Amino acid sequence: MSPLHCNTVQEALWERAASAGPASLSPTLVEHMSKCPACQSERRAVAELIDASRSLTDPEPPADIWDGFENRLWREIHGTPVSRVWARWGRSIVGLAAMLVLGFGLGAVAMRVARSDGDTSAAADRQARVEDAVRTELGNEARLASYLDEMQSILVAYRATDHDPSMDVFRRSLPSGMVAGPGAPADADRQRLERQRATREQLRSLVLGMLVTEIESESHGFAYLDRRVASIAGQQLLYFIH
Amino acid sequence: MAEIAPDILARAQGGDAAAFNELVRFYRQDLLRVTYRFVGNYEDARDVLQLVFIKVYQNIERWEPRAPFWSWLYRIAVNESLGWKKREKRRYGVVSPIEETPYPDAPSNLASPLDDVAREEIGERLTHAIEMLPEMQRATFVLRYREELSVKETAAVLGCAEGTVKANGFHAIRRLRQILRTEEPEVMSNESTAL
Repeated sequence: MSPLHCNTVQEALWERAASAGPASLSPTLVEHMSKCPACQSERRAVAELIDASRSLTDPEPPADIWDGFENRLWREIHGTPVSRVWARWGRSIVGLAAMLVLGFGLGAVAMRVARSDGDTSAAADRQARVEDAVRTELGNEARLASYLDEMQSILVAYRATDHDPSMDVFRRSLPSGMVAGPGAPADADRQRLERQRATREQLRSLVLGMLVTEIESESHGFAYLDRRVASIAGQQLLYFIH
Repeated sequence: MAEIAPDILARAQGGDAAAFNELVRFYRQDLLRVTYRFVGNYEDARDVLQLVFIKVYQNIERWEPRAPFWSWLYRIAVNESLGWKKREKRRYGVVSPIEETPYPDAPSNLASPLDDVAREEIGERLTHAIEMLPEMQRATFVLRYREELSVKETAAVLGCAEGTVKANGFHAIRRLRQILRTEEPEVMSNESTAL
């Protein structure tokens, strides 16, 4: 019995064990297992593991888990400016603005990073302080994290793979240092991508800094921030294109 | 998972707030269970769920009935949960442990209090081991064996091929067994050969 054959049999076992049990095994598998102690043992083990997993029971959720859930949800939804419009256009606008920020800021930030490795811990401290401030102000870590991730992923990983003509206008205007073409980056871009990755955290700080400024100047939550960021982004985009 | 009535879904897609509310109430318990199984505590699970429903609201217009609606919800819930865990890990360098998980439904051939303890410990260790799986293996395992979705359903939720689900499931089980063997305490010595 070759090890490869045993592997194939064992690979099939986990699936069979999960569904209809032994009866669903093909005659070939049954025949192999009748002669193979290793596969018999594997079959038992898989079945027991799966049984144990199915038997795990989650604790009961707290009784008040849904208190105010829908109200909070609707506050968030209504707070999101013209939500569906935002869903369609807002991200693109923020994405484009983010590209501007990246385009203008990346070089400077990257140079700073390259110049002073010793600043890393100071930057980390600053970022931690800023994050704490934002988190405290907003009282909604999930929203903050989601917001930042979205911004950051747009900032750093944006690739124009759609065919929106307005995106083409912007794409043609990109600084030469940007990677914006569809598909995987060329080898020549790798170093640049490395630099971009190195600046990711700094960019995150910039975004956080902007949020803190907004929070300090206005007593608004994320709804306002989304609107404000979209508005700034839109203005920057228009300025850039024209 | 049960599907909500098509007319309610259609109204929610059309922007009817009451219908969306109904949709939230219909799915929230199931989705809370899913997010809990990824993030490990109910407080975070509820916050993640809120993000899920915001995303649903923002994108529901674009959902097309090529796949069941619930699988689309599951996909958002899994993605949001995994994103949450990633952010948590990045932020704090650790992931929060899953809350103590009782093990009341284990096979009842073990009856003594000591066996109960052992059983509970198996549950805890298994839960911990699942936590340690790579992202896609964990997602596959949770969906297949905790949520009891089929391969096809799991593939639809994760947006991958059925073959990928099978491979990830296979590797997840293999990895779980390794983890459980490595971290084996004395009380588990009898079960160790099985797991």
